[in-house]
Amino acid sequence: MKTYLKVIGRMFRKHLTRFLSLVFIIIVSIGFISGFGMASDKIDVSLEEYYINQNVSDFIIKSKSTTGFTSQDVQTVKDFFKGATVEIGASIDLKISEKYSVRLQFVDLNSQTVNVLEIIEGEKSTSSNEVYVEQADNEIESYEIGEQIELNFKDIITNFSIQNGVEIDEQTSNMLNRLTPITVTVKGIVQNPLNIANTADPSYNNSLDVDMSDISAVDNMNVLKNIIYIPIDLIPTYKDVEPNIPEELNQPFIAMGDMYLALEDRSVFNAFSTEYEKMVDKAKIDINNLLPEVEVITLYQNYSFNSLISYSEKLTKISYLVVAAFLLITALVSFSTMTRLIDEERSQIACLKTLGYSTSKILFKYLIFAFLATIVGGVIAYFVGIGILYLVYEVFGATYFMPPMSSVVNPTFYFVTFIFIILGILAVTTLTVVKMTKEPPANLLKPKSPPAGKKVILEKIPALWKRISFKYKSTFRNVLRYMNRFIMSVVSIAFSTGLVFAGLALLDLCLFNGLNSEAVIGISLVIIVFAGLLTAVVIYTLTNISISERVKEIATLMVLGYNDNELAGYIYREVYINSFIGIVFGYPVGIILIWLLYAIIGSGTISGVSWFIWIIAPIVVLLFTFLVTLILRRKIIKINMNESLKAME
Amino acid sequence: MGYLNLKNTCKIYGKGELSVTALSNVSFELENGEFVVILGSSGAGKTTLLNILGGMDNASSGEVIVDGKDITKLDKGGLTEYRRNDVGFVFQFYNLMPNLTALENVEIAVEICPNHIDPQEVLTEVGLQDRLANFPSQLSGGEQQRVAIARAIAKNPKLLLCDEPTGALDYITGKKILKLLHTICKQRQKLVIIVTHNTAIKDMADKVIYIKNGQITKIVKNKSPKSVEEIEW
Repeated sequence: MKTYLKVIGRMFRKHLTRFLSLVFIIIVSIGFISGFGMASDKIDVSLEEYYINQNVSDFIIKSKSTTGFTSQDVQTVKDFFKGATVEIGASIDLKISEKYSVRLQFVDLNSQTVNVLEIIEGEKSTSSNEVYVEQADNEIESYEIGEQIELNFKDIITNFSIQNGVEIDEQTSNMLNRLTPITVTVKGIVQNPLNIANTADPSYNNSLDVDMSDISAVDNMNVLKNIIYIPIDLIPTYKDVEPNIPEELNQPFIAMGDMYLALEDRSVFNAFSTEYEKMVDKAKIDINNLLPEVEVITLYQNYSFNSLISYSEKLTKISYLVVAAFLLITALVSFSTMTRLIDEERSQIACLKTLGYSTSKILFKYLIFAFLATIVGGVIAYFVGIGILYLVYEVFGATYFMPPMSSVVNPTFYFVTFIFIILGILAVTTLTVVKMTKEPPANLLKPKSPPAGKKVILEKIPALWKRISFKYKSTFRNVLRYMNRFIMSVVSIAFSTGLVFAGLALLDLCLFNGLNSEAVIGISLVIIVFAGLLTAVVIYTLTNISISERVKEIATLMVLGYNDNELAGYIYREVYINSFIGIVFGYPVGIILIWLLYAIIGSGTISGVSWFIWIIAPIVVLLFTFLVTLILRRKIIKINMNESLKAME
Repeated sequence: MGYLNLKNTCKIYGKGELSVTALSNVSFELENGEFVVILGSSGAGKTTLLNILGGMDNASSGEVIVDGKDITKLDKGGLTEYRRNDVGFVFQFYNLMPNLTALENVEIAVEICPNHIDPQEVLTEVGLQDRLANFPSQLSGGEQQRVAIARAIAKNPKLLLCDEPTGALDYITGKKILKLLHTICKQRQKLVIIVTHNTAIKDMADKVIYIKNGQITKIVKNKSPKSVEEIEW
């Protein structure tokens, strides 16, 4: 047993680089897959938590009557929707140009229960002439803390009426003329949970029929330049200008035209499920029955909600696409790492077998290798995944005022890919070992003759074959000799090149072809970096295997007096040919991936991809190939020609 | 002064107390056209000696002079150059490139060697004129060893080093290979050194060097070497 364990220990020491490259490829791919895959779920969950915390209204109900909502209306709604939170307020979206409006939102700043504003900077307002303003973003200008704003209600009401085509009767007009402007102070800069997109917040001066699920619709909409949150008490009343008016005739100049309704049952508000959608449809009908002459605005008409959810959904789809490619490459490379390892230890397996070791005991040796590599890689990958998750979340932060990240982790993506890889690698290891141990030990003890050389098709065209230099003839033969590995290399490199193409094309779409989305830029960068890493580790692993397999041939060439460059050339010509053919096939793979990605994003065409993208990706892959060959050169020239020329191993 | 001259050549592996002396004070002189057998049991230091003669390893001290040049003074690049131009190797297990044909296996050696002999001519000389386009896996052991010999002599080397050239071959084939090596030695006037533990071979050598525990025990000059046909093992 002790010696058996020693044998296992030796295997790890001897194949340390192989072990590490297996660990590394698992870190890169499972890390990427789980991080990328978990991200959109995380966004949904975080947004949901945030919405619940700030008690975001499911419905904004806008009254069409000039008198707005009464406390009686509030009661009616409260009675019908048991446990719901209901608040009323008013909002005036004053157009300042065709493109922009300024919103004056009148809310009860001190006892908000719905759409609770989050104070980002400044303090809670304590007196009635203190206001909040929405924080600055790409469109919103915002104000400084302590800045004074003059509210001229006469102009505000007059202009708003004109803007909406409402006639002001003479009596009201007279009263308005007697209103004096008031000055308010900015006490806090806030974040409205309904306006988390920092690209644009549409005003109410747009048709409510616009389909907001098409987030690009916002480009043609009138958007907000500022939002000022003003205490309801500041709305002037008739009494302010006519002190003698009887109490029953007194009314505010601005009616309570908005009702915010947050339903009690938030459990269906579950990652924006179809259940929630159904509930919204039903409640909408109920509201219209309860309160005639209203317009009901749901979250599905909220731009921030729509765009964030839409990008999160796109992220999910992109995840599925790139994850599939990552998984394929990882499976190919890690599986072949194990089969090569077992092949190389052929004579040792034979030796153990002749000594009477059971197949299961021999198998255990390799299973532990595969298992440890996958576990070590998998555990580190989990943390890399969390890192990528934060990265993607940060990336979304460039476009959205992202809610605090939820602590809820949904590791489905991680476990599914991890279990797929670990089961796959253990199955492949078992099959290879069992197949080998079925051979009679006598056969196993004989060194497995390297695959015989064969003539390649090119040789049938002597005119061409003669022109090829001798070195390349040998390379071509080798490529053919290890056909399986050649195909595997080409497929892996083609897919990683394809992924690099896809990441670059996505970036290209944002930088040069008008898709103005920083979230997509970030996503593309993450894809490019990880596709690049994957490419590098794939080329490294394949080249490493190639060298281990040819140790004897390299040693022979050494004895024949080949110098370091010529030796490296012998292996590397083949590596470069593999890379080159991989890149060539990377084009169709890349084109398909780009086509799918663009379809998901809903923007961009293959023909619109900048020409240099088609050059950069191959250069990147060749650069990685070059780096790998540089790193592994030492391994080639350090081969001991004496050891290698001995009989068997 | 001979064509190949060893003076007090030592090879010590490791340092201090753990050091192992593989060769100690080995000295001998060999001439062009000589057929030499280095004889010793396993562990005697034969392979170490062969490696040093072949420029595959450096001596720890002493001189190894080949055609007037001390190869112990050469650095890694110099040794590569030496192996490339001046030495031909024949191994027990042939060590052919499996993906190259017989002809190409010779070509790959001469390609980097300026004073080489035409590969096809050499392969004809070893009797493989009809097997030029065959891959090693399509050749018998004896044929593979012939390719290896052709590969070694096509370089037109100063010395031909053979490590147990008959070790993996049957009796008759082994004899044929020895005959071939002997013929080449005499016709081309090459210094051929065969390292072996097969004592029968010593009878056909011009000179036999006995090695034991890393030391030369005796050097015997055969006044009348037997022909291959006469020896048996």
